[in-house]
Amino acid sequence: MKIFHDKLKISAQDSTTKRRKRRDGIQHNDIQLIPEDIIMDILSRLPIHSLFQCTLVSKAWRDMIVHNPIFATMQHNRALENQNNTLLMFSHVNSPEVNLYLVEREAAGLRKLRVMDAKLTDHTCFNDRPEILGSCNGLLCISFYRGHRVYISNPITGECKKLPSKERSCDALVIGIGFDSARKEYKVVRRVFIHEKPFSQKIEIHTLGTSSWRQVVNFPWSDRRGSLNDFSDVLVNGSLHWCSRHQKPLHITSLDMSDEQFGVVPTPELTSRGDIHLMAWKGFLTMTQQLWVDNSMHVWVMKEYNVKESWTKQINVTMPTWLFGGVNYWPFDDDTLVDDIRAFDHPRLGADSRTFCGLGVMAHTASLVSLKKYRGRGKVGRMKFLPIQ
Amino acid sequence: MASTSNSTSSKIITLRSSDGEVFEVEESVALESNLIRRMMEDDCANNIIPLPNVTAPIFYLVIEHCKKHAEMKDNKEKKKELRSQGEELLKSDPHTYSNLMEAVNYLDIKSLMDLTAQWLADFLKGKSPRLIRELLKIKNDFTPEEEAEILERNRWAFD
Repeated sequence: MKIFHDKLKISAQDSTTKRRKRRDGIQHNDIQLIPEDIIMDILSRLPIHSLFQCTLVSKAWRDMIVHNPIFATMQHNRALENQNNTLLMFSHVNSPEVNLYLVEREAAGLRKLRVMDAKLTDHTCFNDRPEILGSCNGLLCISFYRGHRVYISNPITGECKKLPSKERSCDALVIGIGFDSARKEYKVVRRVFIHEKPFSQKIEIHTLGTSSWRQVVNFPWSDRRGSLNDFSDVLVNGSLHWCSRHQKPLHITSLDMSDEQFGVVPTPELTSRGDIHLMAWKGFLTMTQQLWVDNSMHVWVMKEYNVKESWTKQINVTMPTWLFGGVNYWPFDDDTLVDDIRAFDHPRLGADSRTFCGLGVMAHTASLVSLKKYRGRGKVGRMKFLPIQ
Repeated sequence: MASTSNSTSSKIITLRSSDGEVFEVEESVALESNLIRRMMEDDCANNIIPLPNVTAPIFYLVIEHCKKHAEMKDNKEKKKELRSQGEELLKSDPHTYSNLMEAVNYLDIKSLMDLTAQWLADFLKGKSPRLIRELLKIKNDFTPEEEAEILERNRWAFD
């Protein structure tokens, strides 16, 4: 019988993992038993759908996938590294629930999408339409009751955590989620109105796992209405970005997630009028402009960060009408994926509901990252992601 | 320290496999293995380095893939090609795959560890739990009730 040698001490893998040898029947010309740390490495490379299939292989595998924090971290890092083409689609119906569809491509170039669906409901007492605000490194920011209650949730594990808030939602509005990659911390940003005259507002940051908000000191637009209106998960170069749609001239404000300093990023010279939207595309700051004239979309990419001249007009595309405005993702370099999204079909999402309700698309990293890591004082709850009947 | 560190161009290292075959390998290739690197740093490698856990045919494969890996740096096409070769090997000769992975693990070659792990991951993608169990000889230790419970809890993930 051949087994892996004990020299595994020198393995490049995490040496803190306990190693166990299985003594199941080994036959010639089979894959022989593989040490647990290598199995971990292998499983961490699987797309989320396959990974969940693997929870049914054996108890040891299930425990590794579902309960092992080392594995969760490994899978999370790997998913971020690979930038898997996982999309989160959600219906935009005016009802107490949102249908979530997690869409994975099975292999590059394959036009087959795998759909996982669930509906998001809040199990607590209130019954209001949830709104998916944004996605950052595996976590979603979800708002209920028009921003009164804002949750951070991992839709894969179902964990959720309410953000601390004493203010009324009209006074404090959550406007962004980002990640400080140096400290490995998630940071949520909100805007708070100060009830004084003249008009004044401040920006606060909450680090996930703490229980408070702290003010960011150098906010340049404290006296200006209409700045930082949209929710942002546009994380490029370590900073979150907001674009003012209504102000002239157009400007982009950045907030560094590490040193928490504001900055101003140059914008392209736009000649036509239309709705502006920012997103992160392949690590570039990208601006889409949906023209009012013909609904076509111009896509601008800032090839070199913070260099005005590097803004390049990438392509003109026509938006499917059923995609509503809040799209943070546009795979415009990949025709097959565009077609896939266009052809995305699901019993719950017939052509009619698309037309009337719209479908949001968000790039989302499917990850097992646990909120327990960021528990702080607050309780980690469970949001219900029910299968759609 | 061995006197090898400052010689940049093709110094030859001699290695001996478990079945007694002697290999002459360029230092740059041999140093991909952290095991050999450590042995050389400990100065126990002045003569022939013995590799008691690797047979000659497997060692051939290792060297071949080390070279391929060095070539494919920054070459996306080659990278794809090398990644797709895993499926063939796993289908036709899983035994050799295991031996290769075992050797790579023993020799502690990071780049090939990555490659062989990715091969198996690609192979497992989309396979049913039953097939995976068969392939890796894992015993199903769930009761039917437990199985049903997992299916129920993660219904969204199962077709």
